[in-house]
Amino acid sequence: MATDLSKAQVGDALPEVVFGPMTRKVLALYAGASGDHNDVHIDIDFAKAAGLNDVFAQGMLSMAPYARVVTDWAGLDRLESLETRFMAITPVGATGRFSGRVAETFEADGVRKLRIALAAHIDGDVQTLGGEAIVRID
Amino acid sequence: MSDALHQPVNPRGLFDRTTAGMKTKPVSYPVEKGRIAFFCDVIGETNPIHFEEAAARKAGFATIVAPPTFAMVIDLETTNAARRLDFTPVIALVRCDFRYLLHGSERYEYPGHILAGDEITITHEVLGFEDKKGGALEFCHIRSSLTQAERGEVVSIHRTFVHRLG
Repeated sequence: MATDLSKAQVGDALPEVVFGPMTRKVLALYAGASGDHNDVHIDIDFAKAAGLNDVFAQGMLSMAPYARVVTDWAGLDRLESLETRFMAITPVGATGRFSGRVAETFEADGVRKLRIALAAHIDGDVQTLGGEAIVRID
Repeated sequence: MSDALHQPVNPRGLFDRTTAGMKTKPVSYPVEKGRIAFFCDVIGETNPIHFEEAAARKAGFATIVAPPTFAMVIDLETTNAARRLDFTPVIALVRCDFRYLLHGSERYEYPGHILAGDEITITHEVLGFEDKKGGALEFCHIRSSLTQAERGEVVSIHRTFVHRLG
């Protein structure tokens, strides 16, 4: 399952993860599974009263397949850190494409590591998440 | 983050900046394998290390392990149960105003892993506040520590909440 990370080079692309469509049902199930009960993701009446056109997906819902780009490739046991900035909302019904590439190889405290640049995009090439993960090579 | 504690006060600011440096009461959450499975099913995670004990052990984990963003479940469910657990959640402590609130960023560090059967204790610390874009954006930095009695800190979360005031 896990890749031989010692052969990874800067610029290498990780296999893309596709997740979606993020339907109302997925948003409702994620509310229950995650404990994020914020009405703005599950109650269209609330969303409209708040001046929005519709509900939108939880940012953390997208962060899960975003993380999977790294863990599918490197293995969960090698993951040291995972970070994202939330750059745009994900509308209900969108499908996310999650990508990563090796941005840097470095050594810290005698351990070889990789910095992986991560991004999420939805339809129309809108970037919704951006950030990085650090994985241990050894 | 020390600079964030010494920013001039934003007259439009909504966060309660007197809470800088405060910590919430530690509360604990029992991690159940059924909840891990439900969470994984919804996010499309199919790796058997999250569902089957044998697969988890073969991959080097003591038992079924939670996926990377599961730490958020512990934060949210202890917040949802704040009344029962008798504590003030950090979002109430810093006075997040949901009319203007955005989730700015999220960073996880993994000194360990969250395993099925763990009793995880979570404590939040208000690191500080800062203003950007002339006060149009007001930031609150929170660090949450998730610990297990024998293994110590297993995950930490650094989260930024943003009030969009412009």
